[in-house]
Amino acid sequence: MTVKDIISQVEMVYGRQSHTYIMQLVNDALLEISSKKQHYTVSATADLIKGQRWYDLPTRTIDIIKVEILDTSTDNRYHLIPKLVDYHSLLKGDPDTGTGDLT
Amino acid sequence: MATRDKPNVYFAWYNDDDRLAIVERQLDTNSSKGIDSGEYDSFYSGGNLSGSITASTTSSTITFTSASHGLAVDDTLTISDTTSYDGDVTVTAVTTNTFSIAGTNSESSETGSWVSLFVDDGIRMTIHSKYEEVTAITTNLDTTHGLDNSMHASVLDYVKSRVSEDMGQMEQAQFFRTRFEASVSKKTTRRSGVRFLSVPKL
Repeated sequence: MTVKDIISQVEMVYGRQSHTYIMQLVNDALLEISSKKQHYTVSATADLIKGQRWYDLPTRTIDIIKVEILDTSTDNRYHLIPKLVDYHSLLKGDPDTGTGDLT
Repeated sequence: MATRDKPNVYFAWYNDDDRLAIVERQLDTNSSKGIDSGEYDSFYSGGNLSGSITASTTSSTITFTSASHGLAVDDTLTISDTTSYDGDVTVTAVTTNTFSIAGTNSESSETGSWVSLFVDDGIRMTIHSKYEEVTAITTNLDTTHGLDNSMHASVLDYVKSRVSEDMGQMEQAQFFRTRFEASVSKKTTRRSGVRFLSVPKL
């Protein structure tokens, strides 16, 4: 279904409507659906850079399901890595100020 | 990552609102017993790309020839075995078989080697995401935005609810709103095969 289809169906009932406005309402609907259901899942990759600790999350992230690291020393496959829960007590100081985009 | 045969033992992640942190467990490399300090720090292992430099030219920038290097602009790497260019550098331009760095030097046609300071596509994350914004009326919600067909009627209900509200038809607005919420809450999540696989306990 295209946005144009939605506009036609709305205009059949309510008469002529601003396309920009309906498009905005469609975006509101998509936002509400994704927030309520959290069922839209995507993957993103980024280079793992020496000395860099922080990487920018994609702007549309709701939450992180899993993170994997490419193991280039053995099988060249991605391996799941755990989330560090008590990082306050386990981390060394953070000297890194760089950021990298996940594309 | 030369010594990391079990990445999930050595690497971990945490996050704040906007960023993901990747950390690596530090090993005491000076100890013959390989004592584990138990602390995590930023990724400190080597990269996974490397190559040979077979020639170099210099004008306003320094350009190295390295067949099928696979590098991109802004990549960082360490150059070694040259007379004048050894050290960490950032790539400023690339072609298939050459890459350039900033600077000038009278030395020309040097040979040597390089190794990347990053693992190409070394991180993969899977996220729950918001849908991309619709920017054109010809956009197909299914093929372009990944919105399941069964949710199309829900989007229509939402739009009708808002338009009815704007027109002061509050009963109709409420009707469409209720129908929208019911259809969204009943929508079953797409289940991928991965969920049924046995994943080792981390």
